[in-house]
Amino acid sequence: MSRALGGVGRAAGAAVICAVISTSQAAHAAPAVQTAVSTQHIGVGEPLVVQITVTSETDVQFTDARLPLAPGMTVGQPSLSRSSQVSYSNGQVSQQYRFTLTWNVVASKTGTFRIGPPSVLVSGERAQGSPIQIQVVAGSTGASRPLPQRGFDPFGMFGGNSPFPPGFSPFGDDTDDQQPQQEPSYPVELRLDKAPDPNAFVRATLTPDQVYVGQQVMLRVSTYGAHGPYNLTNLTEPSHAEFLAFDVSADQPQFYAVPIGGVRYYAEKIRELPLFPLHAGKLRAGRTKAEFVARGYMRDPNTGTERESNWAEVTVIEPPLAGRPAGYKIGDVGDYKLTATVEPRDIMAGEAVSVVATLSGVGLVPFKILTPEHPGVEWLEPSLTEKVEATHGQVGGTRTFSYVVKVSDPGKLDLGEVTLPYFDAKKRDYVIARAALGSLNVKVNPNAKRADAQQKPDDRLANVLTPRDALGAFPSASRPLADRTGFWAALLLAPFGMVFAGGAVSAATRARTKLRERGASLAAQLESALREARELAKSDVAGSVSATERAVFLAIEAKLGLKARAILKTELASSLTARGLPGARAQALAKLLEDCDAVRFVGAASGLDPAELAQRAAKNATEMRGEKLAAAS
Amino acid sequence: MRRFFVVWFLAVLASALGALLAQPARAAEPDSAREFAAARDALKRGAYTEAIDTLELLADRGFVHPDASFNRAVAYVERARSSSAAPGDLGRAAAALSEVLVLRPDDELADTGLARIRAEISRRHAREGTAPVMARASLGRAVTSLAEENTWAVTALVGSLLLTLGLGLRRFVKRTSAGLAGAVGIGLGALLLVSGAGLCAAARHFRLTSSPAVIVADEARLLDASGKPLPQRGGAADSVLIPEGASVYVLERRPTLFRVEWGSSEGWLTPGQLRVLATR
Repeated sequence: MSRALGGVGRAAGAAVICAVISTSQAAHAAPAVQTAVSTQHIGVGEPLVVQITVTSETDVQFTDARLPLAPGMTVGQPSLSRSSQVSYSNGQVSQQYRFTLTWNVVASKTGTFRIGPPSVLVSGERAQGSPIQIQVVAGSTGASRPLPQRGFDPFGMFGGNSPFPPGFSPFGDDTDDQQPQQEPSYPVELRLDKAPDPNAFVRATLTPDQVYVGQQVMLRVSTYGAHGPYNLTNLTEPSHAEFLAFDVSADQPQFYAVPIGGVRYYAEKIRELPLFPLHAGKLRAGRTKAEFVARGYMRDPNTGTERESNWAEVTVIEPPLAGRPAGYKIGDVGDYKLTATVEPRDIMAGEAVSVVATLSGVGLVPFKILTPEHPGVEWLEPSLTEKVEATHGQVGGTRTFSYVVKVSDPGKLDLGEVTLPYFDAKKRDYVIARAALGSLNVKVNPNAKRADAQQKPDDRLANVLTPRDALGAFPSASRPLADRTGFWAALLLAPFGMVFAGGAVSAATRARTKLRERGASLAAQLESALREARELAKSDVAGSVSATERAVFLAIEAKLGLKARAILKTELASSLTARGLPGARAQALAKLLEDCDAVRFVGAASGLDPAELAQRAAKNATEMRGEKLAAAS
Repeated sequence: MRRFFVVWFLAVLASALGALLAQPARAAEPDSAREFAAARDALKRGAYTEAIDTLELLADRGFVHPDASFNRAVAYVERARSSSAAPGDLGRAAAALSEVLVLRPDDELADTGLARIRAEISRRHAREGTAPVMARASLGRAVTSLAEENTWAVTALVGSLLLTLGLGLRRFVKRTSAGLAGAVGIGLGALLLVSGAGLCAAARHFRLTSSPAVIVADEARLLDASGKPLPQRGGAADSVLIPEGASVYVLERRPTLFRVEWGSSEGWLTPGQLRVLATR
């Protein structure tokens, strides 16, 4: 959407669109056409903005835009902006496209002129606005008016107010010096502590920031420019895919002077949209693009400053389950009252009564209320009339449900009540709006057909299911085996365990065999004998000596291959020397054996210690291993 | 050695069977039972919407019971037969009965009722000129759904034990007949182990990554991830239109769209078009 909210760098340009001249329908086209002009009184050389806005329920193509002008006027190429909006209106969710064509007209001579009507070809058919009467006067129009004390009134240009926003002066006068204690003259929602951009930015907000599903939030989109007034072109509609939007007629935007971090920004609210969140979660909306066009914002002669707003976020939760009444529909949030009338009260069986229930209150006003159910009473689909609108930013109104209720059984019938369970977000509690319907006197009608007497010929679901009287037992779910700790491990461990067990048994067998073989060797026997000699030295002297003696013979056998037990001990030394063993070693071994005999036969009186004998045997055995043998004699 | 093997084998067998402990029956909470009774009474006096509201509220509160689901199905079917029928009533009845069968697989009345409801939905679709569409499940789901996940798990366990027994016989028993039996055990056990474990793993994967659901809208058109309708495959509307009452699997959930698998097709649906079944 392109709007001229002020002249480009001119005083008159700061004026807003002040008059909607007319609304007309194209002769044979569905789109509605609206014509607007920034002002009907301009000075020579001051820009005049002319717009036509085409609203359509379908996307359309635009060609051949025309704006007939009076002599002495010039106009540039029109700019086209397009926006679409999903909106909720009269109980219907609909999408609407809005196309705005904007012309900037400059008059070069004074007088009263008629311009237009502006027109454009919409999908092949010409949509035409209304002609505009303007008065062009010499000089400037209102540019020198004094600064207003309060907020700028866009409609007050004939009442003496300045066309400039509060706090701005075209002549550079610091009017704040004259009114230093003045309260902020801008809406509080425009206030901002820190500007996200030093030049221009678009800001979207959602308030409040935490709501229930179905509770209203207000989306506000504002633009801020630091270099004076600006036009906005290529403005997109704020996104709100996860919300239901309530279509409200947009107020005429106006600039406000908003100081942010010591800098004055031209700020304006360009959109205020009541939204209703459709589901729980962290929802966001408001992403809006705009191009700031004016002196001070141009990147080149044809391109302004493009900016995109932030996403505004709101946390949406569902009303609590605790205390939720049966029949409550998620999204029914607000504060409602329900009234109902029933007419007539006396009928014949088979006839109908009219029940009119009116639901009113603040909120989106639900589309459905709960009607009582009785055998022989049939509630037909209601017709709805509604008046739901936004007042001071709060959506609310009434919805009237007109039912035709057929009663087939005679007698006194208490109709019960119509109800609406809803969640009151302020009280944070569920409330049930009720309206009692009273009772009916239904007289016997011999001509009436009983409802249950009517058989449906193709009712194949009759008696298929009968309700169950009690809650029976049912097996509770055990954790699936595959989720249990160790299932997969057990699955593989069993066979692998068996393989490992087999391997382990084989390994053990092999080890045992090896040990057995190792135990049979001379060296092993020698080690065993020496160990035994040491271990028995204190407890069993005879055993220790015997083991020492055995160790000595084993050491000789290991070294010389001689089984020395067969040799007389008196001849042992010479025999060993003859086989190449050094004489000293041979003597030592012979002496050791003699000492062993001495201990064996004399005992402790020999003065020898069996442990010392074992030690000598071990020493000799070790030293013998490294000794070289002399040539055998 | 033989004794060790026998003891070890019996221990493994006992631990495997111990995994299949008896399942305790679940009792209803008193409040839920009271509301169930209120819904049943409403159902009997013909207040179907009231019964539905009560039973739906029970479900919203997380109360899961096959008989509550069954009565919810009854309420939807009866309302569908009445003058106050709402679109999707039969689909919701089918969803409720599917839930019964998830919770109590041997409920024959629910099984029969579900078949009748689906037949009625198909009949109505056929009457409206739309061919009934019952999509075949994907091959993986079809094979794994031949038995329950635990059955595949037990098969794998039995295979594992047979394989273990075979290996043990081959290794520890020297008799020729034992060796032959061991060889058979190894072959059969390996086959059961591989197939059972594979199908168990697949079933577990499907269970963990998808939730069963039933279409409750009159007809649900598959969308792409951005919410635009998917193009028809080969010009066949059946490829993207899911009929009311059809079973689908929810693969992914976003606030405004659910990704579903329907037969061999995949796409997105709005949450209101389907009902995810409660499971035990």
